[in-house]
Amino acid sequence: MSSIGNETGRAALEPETAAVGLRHKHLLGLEDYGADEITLILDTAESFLEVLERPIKKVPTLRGITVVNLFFENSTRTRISFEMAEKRLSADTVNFSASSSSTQKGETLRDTAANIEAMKIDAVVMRHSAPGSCLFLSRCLESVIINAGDGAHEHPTQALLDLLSLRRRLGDLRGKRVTLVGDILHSRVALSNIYGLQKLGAHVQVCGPAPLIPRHIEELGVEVFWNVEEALENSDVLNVLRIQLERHNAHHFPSLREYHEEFGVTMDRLDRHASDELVILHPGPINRGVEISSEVADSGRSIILEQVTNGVAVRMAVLYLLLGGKTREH
Amino acid sequence: MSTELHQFEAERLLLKGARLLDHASGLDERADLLIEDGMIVRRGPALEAAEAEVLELEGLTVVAGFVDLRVRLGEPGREDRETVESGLDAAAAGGYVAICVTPEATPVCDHAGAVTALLARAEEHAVTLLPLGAVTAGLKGERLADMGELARAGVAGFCEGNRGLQGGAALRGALSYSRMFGLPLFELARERSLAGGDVHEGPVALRMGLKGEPRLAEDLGVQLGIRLAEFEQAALHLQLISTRESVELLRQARSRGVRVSADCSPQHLALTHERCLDFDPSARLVPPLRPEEDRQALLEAVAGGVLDAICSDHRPAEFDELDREYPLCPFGCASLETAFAVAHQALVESGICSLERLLELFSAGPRRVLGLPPASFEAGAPAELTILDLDCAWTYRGAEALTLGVNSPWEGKSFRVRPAGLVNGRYAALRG
Repeated sequence: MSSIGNETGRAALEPETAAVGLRHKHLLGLEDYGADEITLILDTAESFLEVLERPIKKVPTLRGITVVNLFFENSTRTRISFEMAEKRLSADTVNFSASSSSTQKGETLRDTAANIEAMKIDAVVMRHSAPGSCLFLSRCLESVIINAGDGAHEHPTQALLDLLSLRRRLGDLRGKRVTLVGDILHSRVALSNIYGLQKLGAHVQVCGPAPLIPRHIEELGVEVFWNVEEALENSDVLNVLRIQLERHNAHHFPSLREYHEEFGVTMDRLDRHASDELVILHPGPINRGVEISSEVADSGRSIILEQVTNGVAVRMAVLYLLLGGKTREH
Repeated sequence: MSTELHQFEAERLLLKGARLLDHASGLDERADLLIEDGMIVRRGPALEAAEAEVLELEGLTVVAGFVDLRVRLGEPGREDRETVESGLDAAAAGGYVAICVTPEATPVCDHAGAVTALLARAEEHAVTLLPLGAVTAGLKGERLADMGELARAGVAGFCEGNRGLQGGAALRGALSYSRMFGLPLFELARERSLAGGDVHEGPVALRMGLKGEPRLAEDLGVQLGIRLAEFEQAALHLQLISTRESVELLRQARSRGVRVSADCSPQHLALTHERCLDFDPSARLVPPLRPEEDRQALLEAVAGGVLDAICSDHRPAEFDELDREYPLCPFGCASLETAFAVAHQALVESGICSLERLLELFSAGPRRVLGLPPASFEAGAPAELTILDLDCAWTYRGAEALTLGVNSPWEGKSFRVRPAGLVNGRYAALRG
């Protein structure tokens, strides 16, 4: 624990981390992570938030550790957030961006990754369009694998940063009602959010155009709404998902205008149907005027920018918990 | 170390000491069988024959020869997946005397030359290769292949492979035209606009973040196929049935006399979609593995006679194409060598149906679909026999298998029965 940086950090971490550690070598998703592991990550992230408030925002925790950010799909926020987290922990970082299509033509994912691993690295953070690709990678490599989004499967660090943001705002999440509104079908964050929230005791609702709600999602224990106003009535939290224009066809919904009419989160809707304490999340990037109005996005209910800050802390916590042991080995 | 297969050709073959089992003729006795020039000539206790090749089959059971209605080989074009030779060897290890080979090759089997070449490659093998001709030229779904030419070249039927025919007009045309040649039309029926998922649409697909293919795609395809067969008064063989509803549609069609037959794979009889959860590409099948209720309906349909045959649906793949992201892996699995053992486990060992019925599904059923009479043990009948070990414990190991395909969902799984070989005319093959 002393590797965290200074006395304050250590004091904040020790009571929790002394009790449990992560049972997993990788972070592939939250489906098989325990509530205790999730709580440990969030507690650890709280300590790193404190580090981020210091004038010198860097700790030597992962000195000598090399992390590769392997991004086969475009991502600004997640990639920068991971890179920032790695740098603040003093890890060496390498960024690799390639479109999946270019690798389909030539080198396989295994070869790309194996070549990078041969340069002696400790961890890979990967974003890839194919569900299961991080699991595949974990079977190919010795390195620690952190999933930064594998298609519509999982995006665990996004869910963790959402959880951290909510916990800081609302405290205990048990019994809280969280509504995910938007494109649940193609979302890379929906599943991880559902797993994480449920494990911490929250009740999850999903809301969106019927073709964008996967059938059978009730079997995960979530409640489905086609009417955003009904969903708002008893929600403590609204997590507004991005409408991903590039993924839709005419069979999903007719137009952005109609989407905004039916599901757009506007101040007027909130005033009429939501509690005053409702907290708004959005994983970004925002389509202003489509899924959320600027007025709401920039209001006091919205904690969108806190999410971004918390994202760095959560990723620091994940890297620390999965890789911190390696520095001790060294 | 791979399974050894002893293959030979003999003018006179003497099968000694086996149990001869043929429910159709009420035969179940320990007797010897003498075969001359490919024909059964005598059956009886302690036969002797000069200059005969003797097969000592003590403890084994000889049954009517197995026929497989759906095998994909890699040759020509993808010999790294399976050659004609490796595929026929695997079929022999699976106890098959004949296998129908889909036209999905490069070039496509849509012209006489391709049929002739395939038949020539298989000539000296104990297992008979029955080529299926493409329904449309190049399997492109545009114009019909030259079916008359294919028929004259010796195809056993027509089939559009995993792609299937696209829509009602194409299927209607194919049914109507192929009827002239007296050969069966095989179809993997799906409503294409709803098809195309990685796994079954349901909670498993959801948890895996994958696109699911709904049951409805198959149900509507089967419905359309049945209605068209009825309308055209033509025979249609529907392959790889996997849903509860399509079983029901078939049951109804049968009862009103529609000339429709159907098969399913042992994989769908034994596995459910939960098997996909670990992203193992060898369980990524077309049609996708379904929930338990569909599997149960399928077991019942097979036992109760709604389905006519069990086909292996062997689709070998090589290591590199499986060693990648799940959605990029080819569909299908290598299954020739496990088909009977898997089906026996799912149906007979579980008490769903009798051995008699299972044997029918591997022999008389597929032969009926192909328009062939059932295999017989009577003097004068051609020798088309499968040799089974009905009491052995064995474990499937891909490294020991004869197929080149490495995509078996049965790796490391243990079974209680296993084909030991076959006799096919003048040829015989026995696993060492």
